[in-house]
Amino acid sequence: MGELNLEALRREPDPEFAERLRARLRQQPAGRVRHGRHPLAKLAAGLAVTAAAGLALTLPTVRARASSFLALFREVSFVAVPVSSTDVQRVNGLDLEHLIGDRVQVLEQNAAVAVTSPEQANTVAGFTMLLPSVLPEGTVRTGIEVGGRNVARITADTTRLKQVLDALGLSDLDVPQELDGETAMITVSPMVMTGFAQGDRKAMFVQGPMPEVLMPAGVDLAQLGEIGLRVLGMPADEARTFAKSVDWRTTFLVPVPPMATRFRQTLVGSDRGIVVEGPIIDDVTKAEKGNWNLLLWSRGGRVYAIRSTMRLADVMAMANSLQ
Amino acid sequence: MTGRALQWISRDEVDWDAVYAEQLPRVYNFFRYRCGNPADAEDLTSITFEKAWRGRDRYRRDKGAFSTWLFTIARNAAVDHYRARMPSVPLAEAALVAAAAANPEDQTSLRSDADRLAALLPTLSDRDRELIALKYGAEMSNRDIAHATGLSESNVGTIVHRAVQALRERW
Repeated sequence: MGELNLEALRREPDPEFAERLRARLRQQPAGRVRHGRHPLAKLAAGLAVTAAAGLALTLPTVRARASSFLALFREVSFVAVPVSSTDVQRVNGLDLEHLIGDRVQVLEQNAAVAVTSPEQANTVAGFTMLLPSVLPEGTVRTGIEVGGRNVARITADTTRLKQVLDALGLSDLDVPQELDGETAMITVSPMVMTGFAQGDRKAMFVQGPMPEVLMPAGVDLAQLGEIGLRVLGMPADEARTFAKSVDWRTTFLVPVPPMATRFRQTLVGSDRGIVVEGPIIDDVTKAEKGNWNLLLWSRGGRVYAIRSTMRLADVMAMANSLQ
Repeated sequence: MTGRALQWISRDEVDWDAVYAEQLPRVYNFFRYRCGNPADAEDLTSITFEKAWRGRDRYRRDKGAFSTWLFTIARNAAVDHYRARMPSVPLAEAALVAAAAANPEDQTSLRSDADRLAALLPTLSDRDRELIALKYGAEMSNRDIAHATGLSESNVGTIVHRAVQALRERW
């Protein structure tokens, strides 16, 4: 008898079994694995820097605890901020979970659920969803999901924030010391996600209430905004000037990724929004095989987004026909 | 939210084919070590992938690597499998092994290392066998096993070491 052979049981799966199983899976609806973080976790990770830092301002509208409710009824403005691949790599290179993970407390976390009808979506989401009355020729609705309500609390740690900024090469920025130990609350209300398909072209229409960040009273939002803009790669002078000129309670910063080829402001009805466009690159040939676009706008206290690979004119027609 | 929503709406996706090719042998071998029976291993592998496929929207990267999530499903499938078959199979296997160990002639009938290992694994406790299956079947590191099981990494190392010692003594 030889030595204990702990690998003795290992075998390659029978190829026929592997192929049978693969075929069985393929028979089910074409599937994709959501690889991204839970929406709230994304918020939490970003907001870990944010709560004390200004990245929060790229997320939900921000309101101070002591502020009036007026801000809630204003329409929000979208401001596109181009982000270079260097900036993206710089932020991605940070081990944010290690740096600030223990400062984020998830208070409520609910997964998205698939629903079978707009009526059911209304019940689950708690508001009446809108649907386009005009669809491009050959377009069908493929499904509706309602995202869960998610709430997180973030405790600011100015020492950690300073470490993050130093790691990003932003040592010249001052961290508001009065934030240390203060908490910010982020609430993401249920959002309805409706899928459409036009042959190979897809669209995802997202709608829901404005997510909110509740910040401690007395916070200098312009200072946080400046930090957020610098993290996104904006030059110091420009960030300072811009931060002071913006009403941060009602402004969404939209980082425009490097793969985007263009972005511009637009109107959906009478509401201002932005459009970001970019190419779809074939994984194998690396050739362009079409375009993607993202349309964002707000109306009546809700935010709307359509991300699609359809023609932009068709997307605009859908957005303008919501009812 | 919109800054992050840009990423959220884009819904980063993984290549399911690549996941399947990479993880199928690991899951299958996990069950070979966990359950011993190749037919059961195929059945449980199918169950695991079908559950993962159906529940793919529930996977959250912030809760761990995709493989960790997949093996959580696999471990639960194994638990369900044993629960459905208990108590007859584990006891029968244990009795068979005990008899084999007591009878030199029966030992010679365990012709290959694979047969011998398959006969010895049921002598381990359920927890030890699961860790051995994760370590040598699924080829997971102690750190990944710790993430998957909730045990500390050092605890995983200790348990695996002791289980291997026990197998070596009975080999």
